Amino acid sequence: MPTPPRLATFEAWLLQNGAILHKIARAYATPTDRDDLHQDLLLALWDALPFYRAEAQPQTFIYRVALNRALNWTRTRRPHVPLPDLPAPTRDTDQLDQLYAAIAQLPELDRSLILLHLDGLTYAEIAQVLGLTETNIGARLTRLRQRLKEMLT
Amino acid sequence: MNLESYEAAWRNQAAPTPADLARRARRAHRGRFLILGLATVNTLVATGVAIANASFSPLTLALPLLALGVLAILIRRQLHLRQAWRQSTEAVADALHLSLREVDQELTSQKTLGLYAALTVPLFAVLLYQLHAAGKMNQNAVFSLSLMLAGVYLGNAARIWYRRGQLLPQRDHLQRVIAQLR
Repeated sequence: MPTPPRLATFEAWLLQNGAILHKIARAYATPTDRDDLHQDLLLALWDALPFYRAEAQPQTFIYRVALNRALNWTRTRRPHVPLPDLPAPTRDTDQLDQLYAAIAQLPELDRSLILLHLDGLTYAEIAQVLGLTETNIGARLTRLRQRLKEMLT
Repeated sequence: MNLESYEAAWRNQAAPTPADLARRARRAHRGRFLILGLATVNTLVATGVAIANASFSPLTLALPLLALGVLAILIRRQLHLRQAWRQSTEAVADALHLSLREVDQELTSQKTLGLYAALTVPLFAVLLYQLHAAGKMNQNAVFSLSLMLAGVYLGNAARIWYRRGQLLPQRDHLQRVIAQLR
């Protein structure tokens, strides 16, 4: 079977996994910088696409690329004062805003971990993305979920 | 509200508009490649016209040199991007270690440059003094050359100082994130 063109694969990935990039941009950037980071993540994904090998799930690959770029982005950016966000008045959005605010207070690596967990990745998949052991991930997640619970109550 | 309801809200989030995302990405790439393509075509056409007219002006020589310069920049950028892509496709922990190594390497090379300057400044000073004492250079030439060398060294020192100012916080940041892996 011929290899699908790069653009077609890119579009298909964005259709299925585009939300991942939004979530990562929201977790790692302030509202003013979010669009910049999102653009950066899109470009990173486009650039990394030729290096994709089918042994990993596209979702795992996208997470790797996007989290690496987001972490890289935070180290080269000067810290900005976050501006207040304007949430839409729905119940789900309110909850999400609180959750994102709580996530933004976590250390960088914990943010990655909780994003992957919230998106329903298995321990094995999280281990593949982060390069940690499954045992380590289990222990960290238990601690993190506890911490989030405390932050949200 | 408990954490489970927050998790459910997260997972119910609607997907973004993929058509918009793809269109934006396409536009960004199209613009970049259009500019590079036009610049290359322009250079080649201008060089071709100049050669056909057999008018060997400085411009005739400058254009291929310019094209070579652009080519060198593109190759350099491509090599750098390859490295960046390799990092971006590694697992996060490995990519962080690679980034730290890269920053450490650059800091070392900055330090080496600084040491090199610290060694060569007194050497040049002695050299200029000797040339002047031997009557090979007059006062004005010594002054001009010293001024030029001072400018070059100060420029380099400023560049090293500025880059170190950028790299040191990055190294601290990376070390802090890597410490979270333990």
